[in-house]
Amino acid sequence: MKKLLTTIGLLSSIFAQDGKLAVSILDFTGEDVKEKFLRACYQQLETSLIESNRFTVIEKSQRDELLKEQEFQSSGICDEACAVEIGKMVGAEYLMLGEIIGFADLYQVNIKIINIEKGDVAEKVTKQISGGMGELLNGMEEASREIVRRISSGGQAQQPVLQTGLPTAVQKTYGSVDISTDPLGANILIDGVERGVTPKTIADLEAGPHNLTLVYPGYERLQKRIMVEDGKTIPISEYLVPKTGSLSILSEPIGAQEFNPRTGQENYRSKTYFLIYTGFSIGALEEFYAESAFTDPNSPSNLLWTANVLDVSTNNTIPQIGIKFGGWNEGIGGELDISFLSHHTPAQIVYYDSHGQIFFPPTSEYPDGAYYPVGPDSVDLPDKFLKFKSFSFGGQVYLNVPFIKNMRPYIGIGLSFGMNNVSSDYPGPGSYAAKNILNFDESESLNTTDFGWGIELPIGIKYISYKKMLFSIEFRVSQKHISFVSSDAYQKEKDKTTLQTFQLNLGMGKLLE
Amino acid sequence: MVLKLLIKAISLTLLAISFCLSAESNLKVGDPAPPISLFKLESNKYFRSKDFIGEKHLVVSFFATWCVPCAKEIPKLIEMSEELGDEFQFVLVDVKEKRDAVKKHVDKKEITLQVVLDKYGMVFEKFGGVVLPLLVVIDKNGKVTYHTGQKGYEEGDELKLKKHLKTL
Repeated sequence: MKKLLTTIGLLSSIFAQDGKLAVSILDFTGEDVKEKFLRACYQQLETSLIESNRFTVIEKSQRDELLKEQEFQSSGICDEACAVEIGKMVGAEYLMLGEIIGFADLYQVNIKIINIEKGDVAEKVTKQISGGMGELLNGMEEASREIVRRISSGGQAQQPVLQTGLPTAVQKTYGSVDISTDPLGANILIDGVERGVTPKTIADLEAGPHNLTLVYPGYERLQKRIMVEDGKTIPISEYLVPKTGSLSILSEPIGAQEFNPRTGQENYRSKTYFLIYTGFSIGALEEFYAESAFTDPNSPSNLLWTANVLDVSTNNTIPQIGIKFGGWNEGIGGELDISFLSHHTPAQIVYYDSHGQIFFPPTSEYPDGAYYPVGPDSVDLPDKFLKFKSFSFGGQVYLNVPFIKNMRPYIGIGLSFGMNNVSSDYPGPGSYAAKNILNFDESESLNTTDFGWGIELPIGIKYISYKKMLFSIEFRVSQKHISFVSSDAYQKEKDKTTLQTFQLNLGMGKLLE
Repeated sequence: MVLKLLIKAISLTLLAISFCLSAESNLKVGDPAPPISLFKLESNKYFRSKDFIGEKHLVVSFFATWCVPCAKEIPKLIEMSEELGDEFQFVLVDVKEKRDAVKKHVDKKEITLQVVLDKYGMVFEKFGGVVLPLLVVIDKNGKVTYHTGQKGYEEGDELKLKKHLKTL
């Protein structure tokens, strides 16, 4: 019942269609085939397409008249470019170019379907027919059905088109196969007919058994029987086995890059992708410089104190995480990178190089105020004395080292901007020092967010797996310039540092169409 | 990335140049009109300008559904066609749009004139089309007697056209 309803729906949608696609067939060309055979095949195909009730077929006489009217000059044999021009002149959506090659007991029929709007070969129908004229004409009828299917699957109707007057066709069912190979780019032949290169989903196969052949230069040809099921998409993934033997390629000058235009590898010469990555890192605070927010009351042109902190190491608090959107063309690539990095200072002894004194305003105990030297020269920092969180948005450009199979090694440089948060479970560094030296504690814990920028130097390898998955391993040196204000009251200080991290990131993503 | 952008920029520039060059047509008033053989909107049947030679004057307006001045011009043409009668065949040529989109537009705007589809813009180009709308009059002898060139349409142009049609 369901099938019947679907059929009625389909048929009514076909009949309801006001504007059929306009197609035209150019004269068949042939090799070792009699002229009258070519004419008969042409007629048969034209009749079958008209009977399909799916197209408006612009017949030869009408086409010739229109071309003559528009003073179209033909040099005889018509190639694809000429077919596109003819198609435009007569207002066709598709044009067929047919060729029949005759052998002793076999005919090979090749029909190219040209999409006029796109100006290219949309589909190719190839049939091998053994026998005589009768079989050849039957073959043309089959070819016409194939054309209807191919055009409708790439054209307006997504459902297979049903032939009117052929009730048996109504019962035909269709399914899809999603074919992928390692390496990608193998030629797909289904029942001996070329159907493009992997990875590809072929959506208009009659349900039932089919012969699948995968051909990739330098690899063993793979043949297998596949079963297409009604309304389902069958995934097929195959490893192709390299042919044994060796190949030396010499070029002048030496160093030419080899690729086969028939394989998918060529497609990877220009691609866009996204990647999500995560990983671990170690780090250090380079050039930690702190200065008092105040000048010396006795010498107003001088800062009260300054300090350089030497050698502070940092650790990953949680693994960094990021997402990249990028693309490459030939040897050059670029990425947008959104990332989150979290580091903290572990427990360690930190050495200062400090100048000046901390000034305490007058109190009852010290009526003139008091100066205390900044010091000591080292402080024993507890774990997580400083915590950094950095949310960055950046861009990178990189160079690809020549393509090695599906690997793309790269080296790049990037710039990033973002917000840096610095916090502490303890009072600010100045207050911490003051507390430990002077037993003086009145500051709040540090928690400040400021704008900052950074430089990234990535080096890594991307690997294109089949099904267009992308994996990456990247070593990255990143420098983030951070500034913040810590402590308050008279211990208020300005701090500036560079968080340098050495990151190892693993990424996973996908090539985009 | 940079290379890709550069290539894109160069090819777009070339495309723009080639478009300008190809749009350059020498079609003048007094020249024989290029043939119009295009599918009608309602069905895949050709509308052919040669069928009207010796019969009617053709008033051809090239338009597109997105073209605002065209939408202003077309009602004036409908009015004019009703007023002028059988001597004139009015035809609206849609340039480079899909049949469904044109059909919707025609229904919505209640356009009663013959509409044909210049799917690939070849006829528009042959008539020296650069700007939409383009209005061309072809007399019974197949000669161009009126061509709006690159002016498009401004209100009041229809009076000039009507005056011209009355001289034919």
